Amino acid sequence: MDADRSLVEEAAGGSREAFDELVRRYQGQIVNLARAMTNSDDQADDLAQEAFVRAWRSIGSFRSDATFRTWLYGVALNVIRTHRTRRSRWLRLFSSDTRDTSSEGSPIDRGTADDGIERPLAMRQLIDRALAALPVELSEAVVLRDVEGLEYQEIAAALGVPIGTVESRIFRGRKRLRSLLRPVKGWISR
Amino acid sequence: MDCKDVEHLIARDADAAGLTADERARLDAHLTSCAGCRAALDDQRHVARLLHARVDTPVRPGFAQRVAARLDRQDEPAESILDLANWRAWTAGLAPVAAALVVLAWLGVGAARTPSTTTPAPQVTFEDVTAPSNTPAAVFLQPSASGDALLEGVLTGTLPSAGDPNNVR
Repeated sequence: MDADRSLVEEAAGGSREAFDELVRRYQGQIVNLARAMTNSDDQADDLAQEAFVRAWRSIGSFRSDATFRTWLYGVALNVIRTHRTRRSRWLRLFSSDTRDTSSEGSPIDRGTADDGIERPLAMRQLIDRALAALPVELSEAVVLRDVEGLEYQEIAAALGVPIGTVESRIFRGRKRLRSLLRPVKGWISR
Repeated sequence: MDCKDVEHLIARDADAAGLTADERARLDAHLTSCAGCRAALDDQRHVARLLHARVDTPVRPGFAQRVAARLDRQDEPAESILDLANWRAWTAGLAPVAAALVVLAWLGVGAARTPSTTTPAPQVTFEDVTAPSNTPAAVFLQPSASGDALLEGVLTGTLPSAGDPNNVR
């Protein structure tokens, strides 16, 4: 049973109050998803807003064979995917150096990661940088599973791919992350 | 069993997603004889734990209000010149006008095909247009028209005749 059903039905009928409540309910998850996939607070905020605007526009087409949460993740992933594709095209076009420099000078680079307060933030920044460096189809599968905690079935529904494809993408994504996350290897015990 | 065949089982086992009894038996049998897959399972578990330990991004204050404001703007009719950029909004309003123009055009074509009972307009030939005349257009159409003579004629008000044999470059 979808816990959001009544709100979604009201929103599909044109109730902005119901949709505003859905925004408040899911804003944290969608912003977190966008942050993990872009490694940028500003872009995460903008993309999450855009995802909700698109969800409002197309909520009439929502079918209850999936949960609202799964559907909303699908909408947000489309927005993020388009953004990442445009961004990488832009970088290729106007720069010979395609490294993402948005997180340069982060606490981890400044060597302050030993600080007990900054370590979680530095670790998040490094993880998000590694996730943003993955091909988008790998990063979205890994983020949905290991960051957002969706079930494999939900991920398959959100991405519109078979569950075997989800498992394969998660396996390959984590395999590539292993070397990218080497700097934080000792931060949690194996 | 090939290592490739157990990758999906390793991925699910690494994050405790749960395996069936049959899947568990197949994976364990493979791991017993494959050091590479044992190491891969260990790596997958480690990465999954790192990602689980990632702290969530806090939502910036006023996020829901910003979304609501965007939706409010979207629901409003176009008010400023900037809204002209939103072509979907204003072209939708022109749909009835476009439909009326199509109907009028169709009626116009129909009328044009109907045999006319009025006196036909006189036919104008190329020779009529290029016949000797002192109008600037007629002079200009002459192949022998000299640019200098034309300019002088325009400036002095004494435009040369199109048939003037002196008007040759």
